[in-house]
Amino acid sequence: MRPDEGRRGSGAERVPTLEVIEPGIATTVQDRGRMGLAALGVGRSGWVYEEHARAANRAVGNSAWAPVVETVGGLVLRANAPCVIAATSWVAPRAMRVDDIVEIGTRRDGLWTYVAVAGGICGDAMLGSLSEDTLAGLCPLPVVAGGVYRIGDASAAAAADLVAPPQPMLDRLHVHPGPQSARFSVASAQLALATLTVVASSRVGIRLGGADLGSVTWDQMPSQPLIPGAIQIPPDGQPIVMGPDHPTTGGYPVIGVLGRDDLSNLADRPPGTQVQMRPAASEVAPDGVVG
Amino acid sequence: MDIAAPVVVPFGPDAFMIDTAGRRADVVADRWRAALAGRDADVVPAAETVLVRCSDDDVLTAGDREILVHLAREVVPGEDVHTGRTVTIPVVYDGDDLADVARRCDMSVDAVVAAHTSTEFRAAFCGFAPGFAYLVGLPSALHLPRRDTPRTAVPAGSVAIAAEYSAVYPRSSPGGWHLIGHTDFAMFDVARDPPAIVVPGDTVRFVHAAR
Repeated sequence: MRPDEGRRGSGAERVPTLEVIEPGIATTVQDRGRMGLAALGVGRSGWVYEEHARAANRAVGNSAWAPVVETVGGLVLRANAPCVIAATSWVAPRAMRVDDIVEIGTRRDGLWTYVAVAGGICGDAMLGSLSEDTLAGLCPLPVVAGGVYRIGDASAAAAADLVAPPQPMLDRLHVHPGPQSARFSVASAQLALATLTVVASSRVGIRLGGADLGSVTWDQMPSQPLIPGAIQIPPDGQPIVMGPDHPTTGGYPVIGVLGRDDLSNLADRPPGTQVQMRPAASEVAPDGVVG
Repeated sequence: MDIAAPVVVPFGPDAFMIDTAGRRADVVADRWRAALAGRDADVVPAAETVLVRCSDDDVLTAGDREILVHLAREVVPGEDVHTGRTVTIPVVYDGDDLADVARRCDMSVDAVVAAHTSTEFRAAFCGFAPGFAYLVGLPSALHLPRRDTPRTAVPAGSVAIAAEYSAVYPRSSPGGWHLIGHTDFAMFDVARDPPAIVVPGDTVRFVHAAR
C-alpha cells in the first residue's frame, strides 16, 4: 500500500481521496490494460466488461479510459473529500460530501459492477497500466480495507450523463472456429451448438459445464498464443473461456473463439446461468449448412 | 525442394494467427512487429504459431493480413539467424530433481550439469508467467516429460527442464517441470524496460555460479 498521502489532511491542501471500508468481492482497479507486452508473458488484463466501465466513466464526465473500480459487490467506500461517484448498479451519479459512506451492492442482472469517480482513480502505473492482473500477479493499486485512493483532477470532467442501464443479455453466444477446430471438427460442431452452464467465473476465465468434450485431447500439443474469448478444452473435457487475465500462451486445444461482445456478455453471467452457443454467422454457408 | 507456406489459422474476429510451417516464430514476430510499428497491436510468438491482436479501434484489414502472410513467407525455415542479445545466467545446480533427472536419463549428475552448461539456448517464446521464457536447444538426452504431479509451489529462480525446453521460474508458482538448480538472477522486474531480461530471440547460456 502506498503512503496515505491523502488521509485526513487539513482544509485546502487535502488531496481528494476515496477510502475503502470493505473491499468486497473480487474488487480491483482496472483501466484498458497493458499493451504490447504479451510476447513477454504479460497479458493485457483490463476491465472485464468494457462497455460498462465506459458507461460508468461517461456518467461522471471522465474520459472513456479513466481507471475505475471493478467489483462483484460488497464494496463500501468513504469519501474523504467532496466528489461525484457513479456505479453501474445504480441509475444516476451521486454527489458525495466529506465522510459520506456508500455501499456498492451486487447486481441482480449481472456479475460485474464498475465504480467511477469524477477525475478517475489515480496511482503509479505498472507497465503502463493501473490494472490488477490477477494471474500475472501485477497489482499496482491493491484494493484493501483501509486503503486510500487518490482522485484525479475532476475539473476536466464534463457534465454527467445518466449511467446507461446494463444491456440486456443476448440470447446466444456466437462461436467462431478456433485453431484446432479443423482437427476436432465433430467436437467443435458440438460445442458451437451446445447449451452450457456457467460453473465458475473469474478475471482469468469462465469455466463452462454441460459439454463432455473429453475426446479433445492432444498430448504434447505445442503451446500457442491465447486471447480473451478463446475456448480451451483441458483434459477434463469442460470448456474454459479465456478472460482478460488469461495466460498469454497455452498448450490445450482451442476449438472455438468468442468475439469481444459475446465474451463480455458471458463474463457478466453469474454461475448457474445457462448459455446457448451458436455458430457465428460468417461460418454459416448461404444455404444454411454449417461450414 | 518445396518450402511449405505459412498457414493462416482461424482465431476469431479479433486476432490473426499463422502456423509458421517450420519458420522461427520469434523471427516472424519481429518482422510483424516492425511492420505494425505505431499500431496498437500485440504480436505474440509461440512454439509454431504467431498471433497478432489489435485493439478495439485498430482492426487488421485484409491488406494488412496479406502483408503479414507475405512477411512470414519470406522467413527461411530452419535458417540459423542470430537476433537479440546473449544473456548469461549463473546457476547453482542443486535442484530437488537433479539426481532423479540424472537417473532417468541414465547419466551422471555431472554429465547433466555439463550438458546444460555447454548448451547455447535460444528463447523461443514466453508464457505461463511474466518473463517465463521457453528456451530451446536442450540436448535430446535430457528430454523428459513433465512430472506426473506438478508441485504446488516452485520457488522463484528455479532452473528447470521439461520436454525440449529449459526455463527459469521468474517467481514462485505451481509448476510441473524438473528442477535442476536455482539462480538469484532477476528474470522479471517491472521497473526495467523491457521488464523481462530474456525476450524471444535472445541467446541464453547457463554457467556455474561461484559458490
